[in-house]
Amino acid sequence: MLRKVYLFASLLLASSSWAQQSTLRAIIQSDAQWYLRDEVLDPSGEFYPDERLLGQGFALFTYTDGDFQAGIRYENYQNVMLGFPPGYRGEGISYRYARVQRDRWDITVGNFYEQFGSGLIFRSYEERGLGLDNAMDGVRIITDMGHGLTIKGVLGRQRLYFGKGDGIVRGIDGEWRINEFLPQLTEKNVFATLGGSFVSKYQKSFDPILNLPNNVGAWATRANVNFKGWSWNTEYAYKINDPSYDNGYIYRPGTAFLSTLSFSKKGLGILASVKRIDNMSFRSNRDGQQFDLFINFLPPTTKPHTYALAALYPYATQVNGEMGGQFEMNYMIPRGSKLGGKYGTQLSLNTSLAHSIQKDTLSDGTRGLKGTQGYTSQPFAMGNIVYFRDVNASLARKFSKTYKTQLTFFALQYNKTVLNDGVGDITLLEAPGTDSIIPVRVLVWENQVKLPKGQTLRTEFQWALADGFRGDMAMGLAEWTISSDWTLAVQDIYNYGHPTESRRIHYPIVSLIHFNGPTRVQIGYGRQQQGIFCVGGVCRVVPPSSGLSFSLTTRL
Amino acid sequence: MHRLLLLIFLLAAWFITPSCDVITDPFKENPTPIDTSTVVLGDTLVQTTRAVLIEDFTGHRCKNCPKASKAIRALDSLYGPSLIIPIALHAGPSNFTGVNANYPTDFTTPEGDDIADLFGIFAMPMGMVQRMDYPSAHQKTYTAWAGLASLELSLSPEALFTLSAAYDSATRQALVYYEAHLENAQTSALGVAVYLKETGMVSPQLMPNNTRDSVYVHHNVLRAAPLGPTGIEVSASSTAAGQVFSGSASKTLDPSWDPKGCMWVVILYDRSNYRVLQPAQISVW
Repeated sequence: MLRKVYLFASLLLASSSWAQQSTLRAIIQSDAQWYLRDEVLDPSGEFYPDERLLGQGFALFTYTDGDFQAGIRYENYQNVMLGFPPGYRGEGISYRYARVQRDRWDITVGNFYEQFGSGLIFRSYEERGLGLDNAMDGVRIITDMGHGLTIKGVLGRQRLYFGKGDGIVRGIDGEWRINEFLPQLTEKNVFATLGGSFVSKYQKSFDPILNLPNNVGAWATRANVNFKGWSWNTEYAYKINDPSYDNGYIYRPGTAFLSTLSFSKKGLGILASVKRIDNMSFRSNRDGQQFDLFINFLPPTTKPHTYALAALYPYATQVNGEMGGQFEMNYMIPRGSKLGGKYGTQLSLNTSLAHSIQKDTLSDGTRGLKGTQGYTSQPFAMGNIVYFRDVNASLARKFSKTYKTQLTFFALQYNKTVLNDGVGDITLLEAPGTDSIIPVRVLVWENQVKLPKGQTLRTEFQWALADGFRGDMAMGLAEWTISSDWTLAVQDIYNYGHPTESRRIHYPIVSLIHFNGPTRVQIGYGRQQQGIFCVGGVCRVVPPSSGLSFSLTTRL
Repeated sequence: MHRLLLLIFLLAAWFITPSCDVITDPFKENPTPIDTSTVVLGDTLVQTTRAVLIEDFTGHRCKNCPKASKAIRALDSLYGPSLIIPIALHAGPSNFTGVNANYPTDFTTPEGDDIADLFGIFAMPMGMVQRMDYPSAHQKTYTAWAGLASLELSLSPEALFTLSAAYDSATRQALVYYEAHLENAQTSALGVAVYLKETGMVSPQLMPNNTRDSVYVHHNVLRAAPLGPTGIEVSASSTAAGQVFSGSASKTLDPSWDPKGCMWVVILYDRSNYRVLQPAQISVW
């Protein structure tokens, strides 16, 4: 491995010395946490790591010379920090590639990230905050065929920590920008694209009982139309029988449908989306778990919340079946009006829901049994299990040049049994009414005050009322931007209404952040409560911890 | 040019579009392990310590492979057959395992080929110790086996087997009944695989000095895997310590196999990374 790295680095240096206009860029990040034994937070020491101090980081080097680009990423986990997949252990080159973009061709060999449409059948991506990285290692060819037609082809295997999964992934995608073929559409302010893709995986099966498909194919079609302020995106995907750990090794084909309509004009934005997923887990290893080797990505149709107390109740896409939608409206009451005030007032309303899909028994009376078709389901039938409901509204107003404020209210229904405990819908259908749906109300008041000498003080006051599970909480945050280089933040969450008395504790955190050009350094000290952290509907469990954390990010 | 590009991509589409195996009959024939409740069992093995599985990918036309076989015999002499559980898989590159006039015996098996495929065996002699470090560093050269085996044997057992075997000489049917007692809690899905191996066959082997040894004695040669190359799943999720998994497997011996040279090998392993928690072996007869 070292020899390969040396050779690669030599090539980079050699070529950079020959060529003009070449650039070498680097992004470096390092995170570490010194964990302290906290007997209040973790009485049994279950989550206290043997190492005491855990650290991880990466360095990505990208070399560009004209139409040639190459990159390499070194990663280091000594050992991986709590909450991240433990498969990341040790150090090594996890990502390297070479890419040429010339004429109509764009060719990459080595590692690459790619997405077809909205990702319903193929998305190779990295989400560092989750520890998710399903980078492809193989070949990608993109070509512009003229008349608005772009074709992509991919072939390779997916990253699995410091190795690769067994399954081979191959796919082809075509996208046609119709306006380039029919320019008269442009004159009418209509912009449209059509797309279609096909992805297949190969994984040899060894099961002594089941005839498992070695080759599993999936296809998707999509359309996008824009007209003035309107935009409509829709995609439908189908996958053939793909028995897997996720679906309990049933042979039912999978389907997914996603459609989003939006409208925007000055001061007004509206978005409405609907989604239905039926058995659409698609991995290059049928026995994969957690985030390992996902080929596709099922976008969430719920709003990810950033305020701390609302974010404690995140929604994770249910790959085995989900039906739901979202509606969002943002309106700016014009400045100078009676209601809008001098600077205008921003109103936002967002509502979303996610339910199970209907899953009826097969003709033999079974449901979800291994080796069967699993269940029957009508295409538009919603199930009875509520996964998540959310209504939130906010009002933001700037009162003067130095003061603005925002008030936000959330009303959530959170199915703890499904989203926190990981119980599947088939289990709940066999034992109806055993799930626990937690009603949660959160109120957030945020203020931002500009102080003299370029300083800023931002505060948050949050209050959450929950019937069970985590119970009631209150939070205060003060973030003082001392200068353009320094920020100090202090926050505390007090879980005063936890159903268990010994859990009614404080979670204080103090952070100091320093900026120096492209470098950002953060030092924090405090308690992190147990929870679930999600990005894009994909979630990981965060264990409770207490200690001193350090983070460095820089670009060279 | 555009026509050429279109042709290339149509060909690519044609190539990958059939890549779909639509399964109309999910179950294989006779999937259920046979009922051994009425069979009188012979030998019984009750484990008390950790054991180590060493899988040796070998071939009769691989001149360095006898060195690996010798390394296994050395370990067997050192620790004994209750701690060292070897299997020789004649699988992998066909230029080492293939049959010709000088090397006429076909020791390959479909299950062995599947295992070599699964673990990406491309050279030999090559081996795995407890299938550890999959998928990145599971292939271990024979010089590393002694150290890894010693390290493994120094650990406490994660599971212990009780095996019973029976053999019906009239029908040549061999049976094995296993009980795996989990000593430690496990967080991943678990599987059990059962292999049948044979020792003592005399057949030519290419030797390290490039000569052909026509009376070479082959040891621990994989003959069959009645539950399939990777066996069956016995637990789909986290399992507590103390859990017992039991089951059975059978195989009708080929007329050319000597039942007195045959042994059952049973392993309990982690389905997420194939790491073997515990292997065990017992004579067929």
